[in-house]
Amino acid sequence: MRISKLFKSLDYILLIVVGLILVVGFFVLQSATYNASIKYHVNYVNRQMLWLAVSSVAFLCVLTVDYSKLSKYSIQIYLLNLGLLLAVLFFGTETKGAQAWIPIGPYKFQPAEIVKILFILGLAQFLRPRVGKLNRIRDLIPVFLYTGIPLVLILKQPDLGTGLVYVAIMFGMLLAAGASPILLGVLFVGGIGIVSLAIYSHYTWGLPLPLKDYQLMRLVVFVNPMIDPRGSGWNIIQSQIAVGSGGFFGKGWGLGSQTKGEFLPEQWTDFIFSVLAEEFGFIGSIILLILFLLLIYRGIMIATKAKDVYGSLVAVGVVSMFTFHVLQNIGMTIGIMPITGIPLPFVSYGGSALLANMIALGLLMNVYIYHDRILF
Amino acid sequence: MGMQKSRIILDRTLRLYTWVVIAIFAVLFVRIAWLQLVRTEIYRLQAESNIVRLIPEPAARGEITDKNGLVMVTNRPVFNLSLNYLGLQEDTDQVIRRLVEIINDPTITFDSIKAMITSQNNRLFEPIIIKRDIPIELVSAVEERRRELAGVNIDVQPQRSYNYGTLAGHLLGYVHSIKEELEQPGFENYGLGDLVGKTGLEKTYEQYLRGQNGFQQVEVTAKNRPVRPINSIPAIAGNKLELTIDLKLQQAMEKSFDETLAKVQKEHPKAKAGATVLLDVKTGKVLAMASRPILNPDDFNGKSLNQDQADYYFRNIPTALNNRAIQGVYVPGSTFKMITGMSGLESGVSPTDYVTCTGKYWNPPYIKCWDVHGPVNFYSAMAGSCNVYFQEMARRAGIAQIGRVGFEFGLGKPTGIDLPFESSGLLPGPEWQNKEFQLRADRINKQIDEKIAAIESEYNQKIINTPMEREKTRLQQELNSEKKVWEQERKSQLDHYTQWHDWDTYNTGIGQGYNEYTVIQLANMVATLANGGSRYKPYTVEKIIDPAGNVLQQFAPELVYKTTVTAQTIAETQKAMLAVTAPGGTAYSLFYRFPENIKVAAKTGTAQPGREGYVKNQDYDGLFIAFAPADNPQIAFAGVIEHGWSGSGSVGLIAKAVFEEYFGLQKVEVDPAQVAGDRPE
Repeated sequence: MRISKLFKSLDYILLIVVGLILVVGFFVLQSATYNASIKYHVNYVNRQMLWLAVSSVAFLCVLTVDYSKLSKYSIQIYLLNLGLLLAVLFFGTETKGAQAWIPIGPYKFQPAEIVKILFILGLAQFLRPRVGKLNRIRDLIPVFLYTGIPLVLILKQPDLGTGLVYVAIMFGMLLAAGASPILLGVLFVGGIGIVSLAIYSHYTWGLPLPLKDYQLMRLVVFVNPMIDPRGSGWNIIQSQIAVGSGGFFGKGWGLGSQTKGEFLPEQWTDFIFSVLAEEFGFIGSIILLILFLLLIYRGIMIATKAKDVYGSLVAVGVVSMFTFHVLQNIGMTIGIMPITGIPLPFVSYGGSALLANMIALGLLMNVYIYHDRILF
Repeated sequence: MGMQKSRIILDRTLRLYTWVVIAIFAVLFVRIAWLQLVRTEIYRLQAESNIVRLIPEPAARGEITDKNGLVMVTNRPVFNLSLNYLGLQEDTDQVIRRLVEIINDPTITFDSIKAMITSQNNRLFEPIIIKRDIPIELVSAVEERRRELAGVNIDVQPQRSYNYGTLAGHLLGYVHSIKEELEQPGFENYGLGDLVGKTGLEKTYEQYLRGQNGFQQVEVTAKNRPVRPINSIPAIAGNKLELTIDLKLQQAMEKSFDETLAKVQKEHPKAKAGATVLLDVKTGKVLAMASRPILNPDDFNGKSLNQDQADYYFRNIPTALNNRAIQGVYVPGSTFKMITGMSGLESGVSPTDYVTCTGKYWNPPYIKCWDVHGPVNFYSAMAGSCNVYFQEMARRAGIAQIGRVGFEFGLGKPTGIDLPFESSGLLPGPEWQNKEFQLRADRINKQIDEKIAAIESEYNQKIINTPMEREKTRLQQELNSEKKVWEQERKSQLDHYTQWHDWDTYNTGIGQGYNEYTVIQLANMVATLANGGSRYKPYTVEKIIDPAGNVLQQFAPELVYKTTVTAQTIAETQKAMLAVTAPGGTAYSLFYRFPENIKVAAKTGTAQPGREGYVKNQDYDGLFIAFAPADNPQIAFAGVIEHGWSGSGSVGLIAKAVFEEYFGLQKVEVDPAQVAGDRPE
């Protein structure tokens, strides 16, 4: 496809929405990294800009190939996915209790981000022939197995956050593929029930769980952060103070006391939304929320208009990933989700995540561009 | 399935999917609105309290001066060497190394300072105190190298400083870290680690002396690193106390006290404790007050006592902690004879009536006199401290009269002096008797009732177990006679213990028996007698002056009671006391050199307290009371030396020294062995 034609066929609404999210993100990042930049003599904003440039190139690269060609390589993609996860397990370096990084020369690469996209591409092809035939639990079992294998590898790292993203993507794509919403609802509620029961049993009768103490504590303090206000509960409490104290208009850019005083943990990655909420208030929070809603709505539109079922499912996968990231990340900062280290797309600091998100956006755009062959 | 069918399914499911997404965003929206619109104020407060810390700035306690404004207690600036985290950003380690080198103290090392920083990790906004009370040389050494020592500070903090060392230590009292006071009312705005007056004037006038701590509000980060100062409220120094104490008299009293103890100890090594008070008779002002063993307020002063000090103040006998002038209770011995004498005169005895002393009283239990005085009247009996005469006086007056006069002169109840922990002593008047005897009767009745009940149940058991009627009758008779025996015992015990006997009156009359008074009560009794019967509340603070120099409070003499004892009785008693220092009197050798216009009226006393550590007929407390000049009384003295053996030969010497100082007389050394006294032989 010629570049000029390519540019003409882009979904500019989607691009503008993402652009605006990025602009908001950089403003917030500037404030959130202010202390850290001085302390470590690193300009995090510039670094992230560099990553954006790299990611934009990746985005454009993704556009050059018709996505539908990828459906032929779904097995290879799935194997690549497993390969990367195994590589992390064997060669990964440990950060914050999880082996999530592969060192490549002087750089570190976090495959967790990119494997989500590989998973989406694989699962889309896996579900394509099953659309409309997913009404019984028996029909779902192959899908669970397909998801389960990489999921086990992820949980082994352990990376609970990415694991949850897998599950969320799977649920989203199953819903789109026509699985019985009631069945999915039962599974969803049942899953939460089993997890709750397991944790309760762990603390009451000493049931052994394959989770680390800090992960369990995160779930416990989610129910009552005051159990350990200076330890595990600190993040939940301080984040809500940051958000709540922002009020309607916020404290002003760079003037958040929770942010500047470093009461807010992980403020330029996991808790960046709290920085936005503190400094830009309700108005800022809602603007960002609306931008994300637009992004996701646009994504669903693309899924609806895709030229084939595979494209629709890929788009739904990407949308599901974004939705879950937004729900989980913002949700934990405002106390309605337990804490897991999931970044806010296009806003949290982090190169791998930005790269993965831009590639995911590229896929979405790809589905949009190639939805009507007649154009070309 | 065809492409078309899949498409239809997808269109339907994606509509559902959209609703799920909208629901998720609605939840987020509602929760954000709840936090940011509804609960804003709560979170804003929490955010605020997160960042603001208060650093207290201690106020200097008020000074304490004597009546002439001579400063007795002040505050010394103590230099504390501290690290301020705000200044310590770049080359912390380098600064600490330099500092260790300058301090040159083997206990302070690079690692120990690092450990201090770590241990204060959650309070880094407060200065980290490296060394307290550093010498001035170190202060200047640090100041010289200021530039290389960024973040090193020398803070000046006020600490209590006692210009005259241990002088009046008990009276002044000491300050120490607040403890149990925190739970008491009035101490609400004290913090842990604050110093508070624990004894003496420091305790009574705590609220005036304390001042108001200042604060510095500092903005801090989550790790409590200071960001910037916000606000500061300067400390307000405490108010100054101007005492009624005359420093020169106090010094004379204490110097003489130590010299006298040293002299007395040569013969009576147990003589280590005692107390003396000098009052202004016209006002009740305390001019001097001393207690031994000595208390050094600087031993406390917020510091912890070492083992020796703790033993000295709390465990050894005699303990040093208490102010014996107001807390110790003493059997008054012959110093009580003024009360007995006045009671006699009030009951119609003429001072010139004679009583013949044959060496012991003629009524049982025939209490001995320490000499055979022959015929004595009120004056000669007082001069020679005749026990027979005063037993007879006690008999004629009766205990009720003695109790009345004693109470009128303030014995047996706290004087109300402005010092804490005052004891009330004991005057065995009718009021006390009623209470005490009731208690004793209850105790005796309870004991006997229990005994009888036990016997009854024992016999009843036997009676039941016996089949023979005749035996039953015999046992019943036996029980009745047993009971009779115990009823008899009850009667005799009640007679003995719960009734006031004549001998109790005789004992009381010569200041033995149940009598027990504080030195301040005796001093106040003398002052009341000297000024003609006006009993004032003794007090030690003249004025309270604020830091700007304004008088906040001026204390005036407070007349507590005007005695109903006749002026004539008082005059005769004063005259009798003058006879004590006249030739033949028990205190003659102390004051015979005093000029004609400064005659001293006095009374010696030797008491046998039943206190712990005393051997009967071997250990005696020496007491002494006096006022002067006899014809125009100005000052009154009372004092005791435990194990002093005699009044004039021990504490009398202190009275003499203080009077010499007060009247500006030449000081004359007197050896206690050469002082004629009312020795108990």
